[in-house]
Amino acid sequence: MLSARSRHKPPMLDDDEIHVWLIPLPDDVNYPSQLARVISIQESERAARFIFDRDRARFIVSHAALRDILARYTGQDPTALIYGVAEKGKPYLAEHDRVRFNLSHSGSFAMVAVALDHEVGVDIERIRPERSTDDIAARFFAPAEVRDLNATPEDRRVAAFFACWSRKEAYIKARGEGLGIALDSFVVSLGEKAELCEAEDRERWRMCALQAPAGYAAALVAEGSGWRVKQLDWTG
Amino acid sequence: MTEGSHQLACNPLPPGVRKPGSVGIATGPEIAIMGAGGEILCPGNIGEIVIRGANVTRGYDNNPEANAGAFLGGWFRTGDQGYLDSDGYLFISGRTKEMINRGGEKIAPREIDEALMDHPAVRQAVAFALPDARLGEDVGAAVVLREGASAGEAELQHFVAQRLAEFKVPRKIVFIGEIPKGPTGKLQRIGLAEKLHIASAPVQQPRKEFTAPRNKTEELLAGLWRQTLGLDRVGIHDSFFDLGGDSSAAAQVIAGIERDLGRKLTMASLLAAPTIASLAALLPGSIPARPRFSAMRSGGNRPPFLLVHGHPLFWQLAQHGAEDWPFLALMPPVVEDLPSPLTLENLAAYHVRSIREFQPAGPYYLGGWCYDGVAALEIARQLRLSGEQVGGLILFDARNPVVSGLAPSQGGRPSVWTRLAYHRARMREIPCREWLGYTAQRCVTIGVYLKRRAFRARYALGLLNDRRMTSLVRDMEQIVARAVANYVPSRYDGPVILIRPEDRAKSLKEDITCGWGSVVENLVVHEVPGNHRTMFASPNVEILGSILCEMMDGDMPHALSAQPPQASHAGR
Repeated sequence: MLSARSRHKPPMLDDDEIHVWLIPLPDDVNYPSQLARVISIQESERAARFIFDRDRARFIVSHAALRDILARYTGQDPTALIYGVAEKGKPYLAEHDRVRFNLSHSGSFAMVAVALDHEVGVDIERIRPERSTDDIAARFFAPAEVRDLNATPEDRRVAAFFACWSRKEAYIKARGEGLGIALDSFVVSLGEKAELCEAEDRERWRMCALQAPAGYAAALVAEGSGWRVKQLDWTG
Repeated sequence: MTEGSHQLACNPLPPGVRKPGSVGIATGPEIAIMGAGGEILCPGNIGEIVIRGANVTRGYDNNPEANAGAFLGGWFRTGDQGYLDSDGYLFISGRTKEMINRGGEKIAPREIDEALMDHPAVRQAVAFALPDARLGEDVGAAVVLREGASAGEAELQHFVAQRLAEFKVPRKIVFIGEIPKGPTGKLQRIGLAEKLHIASAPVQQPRKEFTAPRNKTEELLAGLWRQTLGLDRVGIHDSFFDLGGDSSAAAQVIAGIERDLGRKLTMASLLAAPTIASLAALLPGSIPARPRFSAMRSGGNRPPFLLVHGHPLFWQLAQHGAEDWPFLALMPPVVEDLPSPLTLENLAAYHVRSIREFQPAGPYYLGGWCYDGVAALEIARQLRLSGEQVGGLILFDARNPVVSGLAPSQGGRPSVWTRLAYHRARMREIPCREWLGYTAQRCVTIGVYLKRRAFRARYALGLLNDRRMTSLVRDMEQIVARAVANYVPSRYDGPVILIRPEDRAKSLKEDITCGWGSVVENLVVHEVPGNHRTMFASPNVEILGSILCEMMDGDMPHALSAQPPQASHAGR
C-alpha cells in the first residue's frame, strides 16, 4: 500500500505548481495498522503521548500520509525520509532541499501542501461555531479584520471567522516562525477572495483559498506569485 | 556497532591527542549524531550514533522494511547513544544496543537465547527488546522451531522460567520461519521487534496520575480546558496538546484567561507551559501550590501521626515510631493563606480543613512541640467539636499560655524580674565558664525579640506589603508564637499525653502539668530525660519512641471514650 516507489508513479510537480493533498482522518480509533510502521520512532513516541485514542489515530494517519506523499515526490522510501527542524520548529526534508511541504490537520481531515522551491504554509480548520466568538476575534484579530467581521452579515459571520483564522494560520506556517508572530500583527481578507492585505513581508507571499470539505475552511500561503494550485485526494 | 566492519573510531597515537572517555576520532566511515527528528546534530549534542561510508553495508537488498529500522537516509543507526566533541572525538554515552533495559534492569539477551535453545523443539532463538509503555522495554524473543517440532509460547515461557529469573522470561515469543540476519550475516537484535511488527503500533502511555486542581487559579484553568476541549475531567499535569488541543482551542483558553484573570498571555506561553500546573505558575495571584503535608516517615496503614508544623527535631523520633505508623508534618500555611484575623483558632481551622481533606475520618493522632503543641490542642478540640474522634494528642513540652504567664490576660510577657530570676536560676545550673556564652546567647535572643516586636508593630499597622511579609514571615514560629500568646485554651476532655523534659528551669512557676491540669481532663504526664530539645536526641529519643508506641497500641487513657465535648465554642 505504501511502498511509494513501486506502486505510485511520482506525480509531476512543475516549478510553478503547488499540490495540496486532502487526507481523510479516522473518526474513531481504528486506522490501517501498517500506517503505524511508516512513521518514525519519534513520531510514534509523540503519538503515544496522546491521551485519547482518536487523537492518536489521527496523528498517526496524518503523519504516515505525509511520509507517503513526500515519498512520491522524492522517490525515497517513506520510512527513510529524514526531517530536519528549522530554528523555529518548521520541519523540512533534510536531504531534498527543493521539495517544500507543510501539514495541517483539524477534525477529520489533514492537508499537505507540496511545492518545489517555494516555501509553503497550509491550514485547514474545522468550523466550530462555539469557537468563533467576538472576544476571540477581538483578542487575536487585527482591528481591520474585526471591522470586516462585524460588517459581515450575521449568517456568514462564522464562515468569515474561520476563513480569517485559517488564512492567518497559513501565513504564520509559511513563515515558519510558529507562534512567535503575533496574530494581530498582519491583516488578511475575510471575503471570498483570500488576500494577504498587510504584512511586513507582504510582497514575498501570495495567499489563496482552498476548496475544503463541507464544514471546513482552508487556505494556502506560498512564496512568489506565479504559481497555481492543484488539489488532490490522498486515499492511502 | 559491529555492522560497521572493524574499527570505526580509535584514539590516535602520539602526537595525536588521546581523550580519556572518548572512543576516538573516525577512522573509516563517517560518523554523525542523529537527533530525535532524524536530523544531524552539531558537535556536543547527544543523539544516536549513525555511520555511513564504504565499509558500512547499504542495507538488505529487497527488504525495504528491514532497512527502515536500521537505516535512515543512508545512515546506519548503531543504536548507541553518544556525541562528538568539537574535535570530532566520539563519546559513547548511552547503552549498547544489545542490552535489554527492562525498567532499569539490564538483561543480556544472549542468556535468554541460550535458555530457549535448551528446549528440544527450538532450533534458533533471539531475544530482543520489546517496546513497553510501562517498563520502557520488556523481553521479547523470536524462535525458529525445528522441523516437525512444536511448542507454544506458554510452554517456552514456563521452560525459561525454570532456568532464569522471572524478569528475564520473555513476555512475548513469536514463532517465525527464519530470523532476519544483519548485513554481516549475523543475527541482528536491534529493532527486531519492529522488523517482526510486534508492538510496533504506538502503545498508549498510561495517563499521568490524575491530580486535581490545588488552588483557585488551577480550578479556573481546569474549567476553561474542560469547556474548550469538551472533557469531563482534566488533571493538572495533563498536557493541553496531548489532550487534543489545537491552536483555535488554545485561543479559547487564552481569551478565557484574559477574561477571567485579566492576564494577557500569548499562544507561545501555552506552548511553553502546556499543563495546568505549569500555566498556573505563570499567572499572578496564583498561590504556589505547596504541599500541606510532608512525610517524615512514610508507609504503613495506621492513621498517621500528624505533627503540627513538624519541627526538624522530630525526624529522629519519627524513626522510632512503630513500624507501620506514618509520621506526617502538617505544613504551616504560606503567607497568602494566613487566616485573618490571625488567631490560633483560625490557624487551627485552616489545618483542620487540610487534615479532613487528607484523612476524612478519625481517629486522628496529633502532636506538637512547644507553641505548636498548643496549636495541636486547638486543632484536636475543633476536630472533636465537629464530631470526629481524636485517638491521641501529645503535647511535647507545651505550656498552657495562660497559666505560664505568656498570655496578655496575665500581663503579657513575664515581667523583667521574672525573666531575670529565670536566667539566674539557669546560670546556677551551668558551670561558670559557660556564663559568657549563655549571656551572649540571651543577647541574641533579645535582638530577635526586638526585631519581632518591630515586625509585629508594622504587621498590626498594616505597613507590610506582601513581599516584605514573605521574607519576614519565612519563619512561621513567630506567627504561631503570637497567636499562641493571645490564645486562651478552652476545656478539652479528650485523651492527652504531656511530655515534660526533666531538665527544665526550676524557677518557672508552674505545676507538673505545665498549666494544663485545669483545662485537660484526661491528662497523662510523662517525664523524660533531656531538656526542651535534647529529649528528641539519642538516647533520650528511644524513651519518647516507646511512649508513642504505647499510645498507638491503645494505652492512651480513655482513647475510645471520645464523646464530642459539650463545651460551647467560646474561645476565651
